[in-house]
Amino acid sequence: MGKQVINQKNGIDSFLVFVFALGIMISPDSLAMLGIFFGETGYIGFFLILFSTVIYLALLSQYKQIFIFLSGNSSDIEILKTTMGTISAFFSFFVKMIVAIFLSTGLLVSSGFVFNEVFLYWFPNFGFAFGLLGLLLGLQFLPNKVGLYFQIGFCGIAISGLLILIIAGIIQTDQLIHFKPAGIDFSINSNGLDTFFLPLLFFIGFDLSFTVWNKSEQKYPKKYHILFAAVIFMSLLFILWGYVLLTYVPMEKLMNSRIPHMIAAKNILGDPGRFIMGTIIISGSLAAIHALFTSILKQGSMLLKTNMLVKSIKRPQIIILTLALIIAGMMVGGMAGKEELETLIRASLILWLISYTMISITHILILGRAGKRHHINLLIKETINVMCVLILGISILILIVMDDNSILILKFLGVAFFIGLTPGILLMFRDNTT
Amino acid sequence: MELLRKKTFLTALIFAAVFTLLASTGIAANANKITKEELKKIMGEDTVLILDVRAGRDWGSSEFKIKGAHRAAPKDFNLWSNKYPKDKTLVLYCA
Repeated sequence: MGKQVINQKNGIDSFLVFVFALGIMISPDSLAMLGIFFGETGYIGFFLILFSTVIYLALLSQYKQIFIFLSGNSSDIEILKTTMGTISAFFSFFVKMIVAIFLSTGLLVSSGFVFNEVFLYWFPNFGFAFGLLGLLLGLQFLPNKVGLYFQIGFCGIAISGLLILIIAGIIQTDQLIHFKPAGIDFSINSNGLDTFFLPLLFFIGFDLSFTVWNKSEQKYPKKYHILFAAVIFMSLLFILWGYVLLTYVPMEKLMNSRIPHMIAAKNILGDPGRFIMGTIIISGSLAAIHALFTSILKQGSMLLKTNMLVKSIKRPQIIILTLALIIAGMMVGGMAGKEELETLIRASLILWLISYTMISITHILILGRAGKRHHINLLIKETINVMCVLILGISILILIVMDDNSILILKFLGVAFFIGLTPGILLMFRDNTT
Repeated sequence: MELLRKKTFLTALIFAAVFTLLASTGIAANANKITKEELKKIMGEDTVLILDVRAGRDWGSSEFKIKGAHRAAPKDFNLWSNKYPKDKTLVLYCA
């Protein structure tokens, strides 16, 4: 009986790791990017998604090795602090804050529009967006467990909805009445190299699952298997959804729309398809923002414990409250109506990709410190790590330089690096002088 | 501790309610306004042109537009500002 209870608890814990890892990947912004990506690359997109999956599996493998090496440290903040110092640790926290500000603003606004246009036309879209923000903020003040179960609900609904549309799409391919199926065509519409590296942004956020790792549990390798499973699962889901997109919507329409997922859902199941996609968009937004808020709350409390944040912050929830106020300010200030929001969301995701590259470099440093380069296994691992850093570095450069708004992205990254690195540098000086 | 948690949760709820109300009222601007009822009455008349000037997610996240409206992106203002006759009533909507 006791063993059964433990097994059940482990099962729920594993599921929590899974749903937090998927938080951002299942968000409507990922679906929008995916639709535009398939519109530009067509069936070539499948291979590019597989390539990104391999890169992320290599990254995860590095995380796993670092965690085992530093067993007992249960967060990326601690890893970064131990290996690369205070500056990197604070920067990792800052990156999530930045993504939370821009991505959450976009997601909440989109959810508001969807609720208004799909479910209740008389309900103010901004009213709904603020209601969601209030709900997500409130969850951070409730006991930890409540939020975790909500995450299962948000993510579960979004994934189930997408699976329903994929299955319906595949089953009734021969009954297409609105559009002629695209067929297997390897032509591409993209005129920029950056499109080929876009899938690297689709898997961002797997590390949000560290939020639900318990320090006292020494089962890190087991939980890593779940993370590997999460990345492979999403890769398959993206490929299947991509196939359905290309079957039901012409490529030109996919690449020129900002809601290709909604168009596809409508073409697959008509109005019921719109309702399902509407539900996916709202629950996917909640899953992404809730995972971000919960992760920031946990990292914030860790920074407070290690005196890396100002002492006037008595409770970590104040960080989330401030974050919600900024997001609310952005919405009231009309950020939803600005073209720059899309670029800033993309730039903040690139910033996150840069922080993954930093982890990759950390791993190389750790192996270097281990000083056993003559060992063949370590040599292979080090070669893979260097390749991973190189690929990520080149991809980041291309994503920035080839973007239509590269100047804005560069400005954004410049400001982000300045603001994100300064507190860490000041903290380092403080630690050195005391 | 439990009391403190309840108080902060209540504060968060009040915060959400206040912002929901704020959002519903919108931000005032110094421009002639037309209500949807007034617009319904004049829709379809030859002297009326409806322009969809939504931008960003206001435009991108939406599936619909007002029947008969012409798309006029704010970033392309210079391209379309002289396109429409001055003697007509131009109705612009942005959200």
